[in-house]
Amino acid sequence: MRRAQADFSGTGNDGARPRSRRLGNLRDGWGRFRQHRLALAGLVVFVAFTLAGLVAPLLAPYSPFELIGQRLEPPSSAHLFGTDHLGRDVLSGVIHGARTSVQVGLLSTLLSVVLGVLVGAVAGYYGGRLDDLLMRVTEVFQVLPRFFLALVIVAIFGASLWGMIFVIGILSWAEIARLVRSEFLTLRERPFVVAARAYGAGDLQLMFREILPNALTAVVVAASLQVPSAIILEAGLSFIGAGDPSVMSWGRMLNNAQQYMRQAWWTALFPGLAISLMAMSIALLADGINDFFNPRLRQKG
Amino acid sequence: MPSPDPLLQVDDLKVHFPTSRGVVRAVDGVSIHVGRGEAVGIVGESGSGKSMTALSLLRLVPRPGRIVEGDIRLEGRSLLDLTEKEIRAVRLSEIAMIFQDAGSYLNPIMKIEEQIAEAIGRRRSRLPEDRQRVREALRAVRIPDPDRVAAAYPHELSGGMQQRAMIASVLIRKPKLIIADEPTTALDATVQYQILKFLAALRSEIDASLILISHDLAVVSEVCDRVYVMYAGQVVEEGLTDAIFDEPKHPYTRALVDSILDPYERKESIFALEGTPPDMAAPPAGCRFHPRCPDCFAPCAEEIPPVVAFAGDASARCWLHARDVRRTHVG
Repeated sequence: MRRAQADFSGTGNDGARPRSRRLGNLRDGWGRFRQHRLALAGLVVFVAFTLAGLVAPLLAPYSPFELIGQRLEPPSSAHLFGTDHLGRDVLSGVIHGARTSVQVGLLSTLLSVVLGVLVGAVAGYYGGRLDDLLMRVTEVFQVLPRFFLALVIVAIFGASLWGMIFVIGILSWAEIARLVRSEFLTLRERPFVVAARAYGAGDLQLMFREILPNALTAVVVAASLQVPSAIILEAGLSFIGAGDPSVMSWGRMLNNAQQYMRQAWWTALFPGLAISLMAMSIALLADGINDFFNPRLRQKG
Repeated sequence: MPSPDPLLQVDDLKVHFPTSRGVVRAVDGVSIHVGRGEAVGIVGESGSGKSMTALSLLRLVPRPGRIVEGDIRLEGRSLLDLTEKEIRAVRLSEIAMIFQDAGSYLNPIMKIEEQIAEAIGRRRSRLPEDRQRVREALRAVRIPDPDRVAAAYPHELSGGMQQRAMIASVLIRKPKLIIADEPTTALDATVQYQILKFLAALRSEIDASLILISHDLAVVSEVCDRVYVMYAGQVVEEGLTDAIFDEPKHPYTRALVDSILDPYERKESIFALEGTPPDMAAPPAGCRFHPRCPDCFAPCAEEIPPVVAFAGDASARCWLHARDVRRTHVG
């Protein structure tokens, strides 16, 4: 709304202002993002979780491992989310779990996106035998049983938070690679890529400056779906003992709660709610990021 | 009569595409030359190999096509011998191409100013002098509000504006040779002539040669000094534009001239050439035009016609004139 007014009253020549191009683009992107209410909501929830994770020791009333009450105490004013089967504060667990989940979700997705984009870009752009080879490798990673591979890697590198991030990243790049490859296969034939080549652009410039930005929409969507699945994979890994025993996570809490769900719904509900909220906020956020990168959606006036 | 020191000299160029139905000879022995500052037209139907010839000049023949024979020399230097890095330098600063449908040849998610700045090797148009140059280039192609266009994305502009922006990005690098492949075909008639006019004016300002490719002989005649007429992968006639208009030698050229609509000349009926261009995987024997030729006679279906040279850098690939020549020389 405010943007629309600015357009009417403004001089109408944004470009004339001595403003760096990059900043101008970010501003435009933000303008598009802002019009997306759900994306804004997603952003707010996501930032709230991230902040909560960052200041978890200050925010949480107790340590997540401290035995502070009776077993399976229902929610009360003393323990807002109740206590778990060992008498630990569920609220503190959820807050500390945010830290782990955000870390694992984002960093492992980042790793898988970097790997997937590199492999997919090279395969899709160059094609031919290199493509065949890379796609066979990708397929191997797609069909490998995830938990088996995770166990092997954890056995080698030990169970730590970083090990887990690495494992999850390694397990999920294959889908991104296939997606990026298919985007590159179609985009590389597009006229504007032909034109850029005719204007002297080299392979790297074509791949990462002309083609990749146009494929980013799909990558962002795929990556945003991978964040919640990474959070859930972390939960599963924690359950089979491949997780880092020194950190609390939502997955771990959920797995613990499995046996007590009938007597104590709160042990499962709150961490489950946290995972759902987080996953949803990221999905909505991804929608907004899409708009951010896509100038076609810009609405005038 | 090629000029003694041509900017571009193409000799016997052949571009082949292996397909499941056999080899398609998209360009089959094309020889052209372009002098410094000269504007040359290439005319032909779609599929005649004119665009493929243009792409060959930049070594951009799409796979699985390949330049199998011939030579392309820019200022005496063979482009086919260059390394990948060297040919990229040629594309960047010496030969620049303007494409037909600017809208799809511009990157949809980059602003116009970024794309033009890229043409002069600037990753970011941050420096005031770069921004200034971009705006000057836009002003040069008669864009009235360069600030708005510079900050726009391609889809926010009309077809004419898109084509202007693309021409600006070509002119800003001051190439020696501009190849314009149907630059105005996708535009309204009024915009077409505007753009053709300033394209011609601007290229002589920066002293660049021009190859204008079109299916429309009328468009080419507006701008070009000389014309090559292509049919089925071969040059069938070449000559000065006026001479070709006044006295076309090849029956195909005559068909093209006759099919031009002239508002001042009330034609009884508009001439239309029958048939379609041949299947290039299996072109007809003899003269490739003979199945559609109104003047087809004895040798045309069997023997490949010779290239007959005329005065004034003109030639035609046709038996009609071979007979004339033989008659004048022998008889």
